[in-house]
Amino acid sequence: MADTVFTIFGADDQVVATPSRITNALWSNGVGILTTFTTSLAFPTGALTDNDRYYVDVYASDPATEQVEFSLAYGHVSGAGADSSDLDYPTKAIYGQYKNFLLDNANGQFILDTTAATVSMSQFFAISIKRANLKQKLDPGNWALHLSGSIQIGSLHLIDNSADGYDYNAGATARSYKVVSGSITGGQVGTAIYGLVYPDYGIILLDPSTFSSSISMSLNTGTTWVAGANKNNLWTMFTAISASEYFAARSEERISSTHYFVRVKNQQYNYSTNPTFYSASDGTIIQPAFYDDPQTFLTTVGLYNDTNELLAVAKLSQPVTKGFDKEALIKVRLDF
Amino acid sequence: MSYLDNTTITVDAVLTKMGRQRFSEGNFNVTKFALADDEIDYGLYNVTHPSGSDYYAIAIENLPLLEAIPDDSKTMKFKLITLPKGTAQIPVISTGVSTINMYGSYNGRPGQTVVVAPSTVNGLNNTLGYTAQLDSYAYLTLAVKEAAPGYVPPARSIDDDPIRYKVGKSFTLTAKALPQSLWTTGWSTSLVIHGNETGGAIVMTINVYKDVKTSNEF
Repeated sequence: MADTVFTIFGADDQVVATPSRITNALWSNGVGILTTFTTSLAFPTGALTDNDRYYVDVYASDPATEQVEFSLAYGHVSGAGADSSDLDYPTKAIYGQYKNFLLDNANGQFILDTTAATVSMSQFFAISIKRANLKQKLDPGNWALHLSGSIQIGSLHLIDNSADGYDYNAGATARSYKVVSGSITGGQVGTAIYGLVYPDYGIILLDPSTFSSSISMSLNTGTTWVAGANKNNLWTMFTAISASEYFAARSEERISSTHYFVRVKNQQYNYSTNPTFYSASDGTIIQPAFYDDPQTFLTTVGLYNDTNELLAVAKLSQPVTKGFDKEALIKVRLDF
Repeated sequence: MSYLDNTTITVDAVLTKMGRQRFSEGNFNVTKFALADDEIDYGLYNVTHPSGSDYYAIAIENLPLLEAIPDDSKTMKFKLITLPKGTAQIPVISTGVSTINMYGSYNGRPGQTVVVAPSTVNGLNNTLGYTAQLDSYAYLTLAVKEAAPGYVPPARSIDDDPIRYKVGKSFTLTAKALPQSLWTTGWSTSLVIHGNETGGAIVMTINVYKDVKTSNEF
């Protein structure tokens, strides 16, 4: 192709940049802290649908118009918390689902602590963040969830302990950190462990046996579920979250960029095919001052492949003047 | 004494629709660039500015620009080109008309065929020809009538999109049947013709009707 229009990039003109880490507010519409929580379910008195036995979707406001922020599920290793007549064993199924998903050994257990003796989780509440919000991963060390079981008792402030830089599951399929009490800015308080967070999956597992008494949360660990009797664990946990009015989190993603250095030399691109540049009848340049000293004003950079297909386009914030006595260097960044 | 300006302009690019397609195919390979001055009105260049020659272009230079749009058929319309110093006339692409009215196939009658033969005033585009780009191909087909002698389709050609893009010296448009919902209003799209050597482009409006328009056929 003639070089009237296109300039071929040289080997030094394209640079693949080191991926950069980008964090954003996690929740929908760029919200960083969820303070209101709703669900479309009429717990605890409403009838359970098929999915209600397994999980509930949680929204920031009206479920009819807003998108899901996260899902809440309850799992129990032996199926407690569900009616024994339900042969789908929903809570046992949930437990097995997360175990199969997150553990390298599907027959293993979620281990909370091994410092003194092995402490495993026989039950958990699983908070699964909607993937559209999550982007690539939950930003570890920058989420905080408050739980309130009773106003009189107060609330529990949960974070993770990633600040110590130790991945408790290093080498395994899923990176994980311990869920501890504290605050994002102040860090960990105390040594109690309340669960596990898997930032790459956007999943937080909370062991209710570690905090139900401290926030006066009444759990159903039996094998019956009675409508209206406040025995639905999902409803109990949902109210603990919604009463706290605080769930802060950030998403994290790695952006790979390529930089293209557009070098415009003095002899190049000094004429325009813009219809205000020349006369449509015979192509004569309209501005007489441009006969000897043409000037153009570049606004747009197009990146093409070898078949002249326009693959990417970049706009400048203001026009850049170009002439036979001017050169320009423009760095075009393309994120993937 | 002040510091020299050593800044590099940095801008963010967005993928076009074609770029996304090629990316999804694993065939995203940027090899060259072109520049355009879309949005610029050279009529604002004022050689009578009372503040002198430094201000002739001030109205243009201070213009805030719009964000990039991903539609590759609607951006990079007016390309900057490299010509020898002292050039007084710009190559101008012409087809003679700006609007083509056609009738589609109907009740056994074949759809109308029209030849579009661009030309370039002040030379160029004879070797590499033109790229014709249909905005929509719902009720039209686009074909090359005369090939460009210097155009050698690469391994992955622009002709990979055989419906929307064609490269040649002249082209054939053939109208297809319109659905009944469009019998009254007809249907319109645009055909952009780029000069492969000059970079200029013209935009034509293509109208397809159910019935023959004897008064204003192309």
